Amino acid sequence: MGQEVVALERVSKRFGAEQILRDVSLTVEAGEMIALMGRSGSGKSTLLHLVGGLDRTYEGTIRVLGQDLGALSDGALSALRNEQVGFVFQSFHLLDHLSVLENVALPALLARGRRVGELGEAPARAREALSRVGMLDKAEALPSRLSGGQKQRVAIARALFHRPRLILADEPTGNLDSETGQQIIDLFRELNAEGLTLFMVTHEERVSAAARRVVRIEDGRIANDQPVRVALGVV
Amino acid sequence: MNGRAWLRIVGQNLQRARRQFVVSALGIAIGVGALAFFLGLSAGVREVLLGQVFHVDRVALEPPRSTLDVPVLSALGGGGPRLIDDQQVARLRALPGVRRVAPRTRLQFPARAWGGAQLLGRDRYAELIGEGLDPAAVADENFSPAPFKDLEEGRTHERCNGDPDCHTPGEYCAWDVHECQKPVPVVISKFLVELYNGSFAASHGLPKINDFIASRFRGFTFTIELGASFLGARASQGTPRQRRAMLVGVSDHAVPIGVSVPLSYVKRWNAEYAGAGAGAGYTSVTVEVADKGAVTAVVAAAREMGLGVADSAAEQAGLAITLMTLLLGLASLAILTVAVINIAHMFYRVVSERRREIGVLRALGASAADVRRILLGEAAAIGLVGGGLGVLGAYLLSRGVDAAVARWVPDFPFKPESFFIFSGGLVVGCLGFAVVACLGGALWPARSAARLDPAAALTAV
Repeated sequence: MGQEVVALERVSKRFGAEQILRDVSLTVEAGEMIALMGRSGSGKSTLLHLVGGLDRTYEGTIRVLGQDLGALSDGALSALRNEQVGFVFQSFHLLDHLSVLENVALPALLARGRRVGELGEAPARAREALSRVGMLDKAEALPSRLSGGQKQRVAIARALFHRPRLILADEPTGNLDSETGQQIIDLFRELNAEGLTLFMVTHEERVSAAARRVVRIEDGRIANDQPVRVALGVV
Repeated sequence: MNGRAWLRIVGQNLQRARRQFVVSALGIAIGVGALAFFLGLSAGVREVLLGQVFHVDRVALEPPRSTLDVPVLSALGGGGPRLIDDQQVARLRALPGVRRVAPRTRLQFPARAWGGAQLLGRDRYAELIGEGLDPAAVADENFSPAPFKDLEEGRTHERCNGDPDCHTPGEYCAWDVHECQKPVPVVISKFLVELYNGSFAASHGLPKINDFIASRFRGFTFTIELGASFLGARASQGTPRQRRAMLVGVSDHAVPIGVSVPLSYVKRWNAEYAGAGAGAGYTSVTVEVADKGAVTAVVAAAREMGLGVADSAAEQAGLAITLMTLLLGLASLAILTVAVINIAHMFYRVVSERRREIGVLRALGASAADVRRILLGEAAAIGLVGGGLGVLGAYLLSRGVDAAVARWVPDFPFKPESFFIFSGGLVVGCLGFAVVACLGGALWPARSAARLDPAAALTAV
């Protein structure tokens, strides 16, 4: 059994009177690539936000990389997100006024307590991350000049900047055509093969097919949690 | 987020929203500029009024006026004010905070003067308004060619029938007593010089008196006649006689309108022409305090002694300036308030526009405090730039006003070269105020930005 990266124990979440998640318990181990599937409004994105510490109002316990998110201060939680967790969003969320290189190096600017000298290394590290996703030649371009697939590659490079232990991806191929989406899936596979833990929210079968484990969520509960072959009926 | 990273993010944000930034900074510049302009004007006017025209570290005290103290009766030797005696002067000297007490006494009989041919081409004639001034009041000032003191006290005089008989340089022959005497030293006030420059010189086509020319006037002599007036009045006693007077300097301790001579001369003359009682006391006393804050206590003590304040013009001028400053300052603050409201409005809009971006920053590791600091940094930059532009604008405008006044406004007494004083404290204060005002305007929007739910911000449409 591998090292525990994410652990949810009886996690519930409600928005006003609406119960979004009900007693969700889930464990993700290091090196896993999990696809969280479900219909729109089933609570899968909410679950991802909770795991990323972006939403702090919940019941139950969430541990990420051994740290109880509920016990962390805002600063400590921000540092955890900055250094150990990478986010990839469906809408890419690149900042239009910054170049590709500056977007990728943004986590360096937000790092807590880092020495000024380390800020000087940020461009080199950003280039390294861009090189990893095959976007080095676009380093000086503005995001508005990029295609959807290129934007998502840049967003992945940004997520990789601090060499995180966990990537949280929310519908990473949702805004991409099938060919470009496949390229992103292949990139995730490569990253996972290198040992990175990936936790993806998707409603696309082809994305979940790339995962090793598929967790289905229905009406705020985990309906099933199976290896991909079982979940997709390959076996 | 360290300081350098913070500066970089703030810089990037200002760079991309240049127009908003410039418009907001201009609003602040107008408000702070108006404030700096009025404060600079107030400081300049205060400097002239309270530094040169009035002296806030001095208070002139006089005995209460009697009901018979009217000019006509006074001139005729009747009525007139009671006098301050030496005992009261000694008590004033003993008050805490008092630096110097200078008794004064007016000429209490008619007198006249003429002279000036050597300077003005022909003699001028005028009633003599004179006052005796304690030489101790001007002890730290330099006079020439003679000191400001009683030059006749304790000396014997050569006999003479005309000036050539007087062998001591500077002496003349007082023909009525056939004695060689030194001219009576006289000082005039800077106010009188300013009055001459601002009104008399211009209207009579005469040259203005600057410091250099004033120094050349030293030693200028003229004739005074005691006990007689061009208006036909005569002293109640004594025989009119002429004496020579010599200008030895300009002092802001001198009587504003008229001439000041050493006190002992006037005391002797008053006793001779207005009776022994007139020569026994003083018509007023000037009290100088070490710290202007002590004036109030000195005035209170003087009132207990039965003395009154002779001239509260300085107090009134100071109050008027303060009120004007307050009024104009309030107007500036109103402008600034509008600018700050605009800042708040702009930052609320910025927060709304950047809602998703704030969510991204939070996801990438920015804390709530980082988000707040970024927005407040932008506000501080607007304040700094707006404040700087405002102060610079106020300074340039002040130079324009000074130039316009110098060119188009006729001279008047105490007309300064500049009506403005922009001290370092004023500049730093205005800049600081601009920054604080902008921070105040951005505080609530920054707080609301910091409190944004990152998950909700990321999913915002």
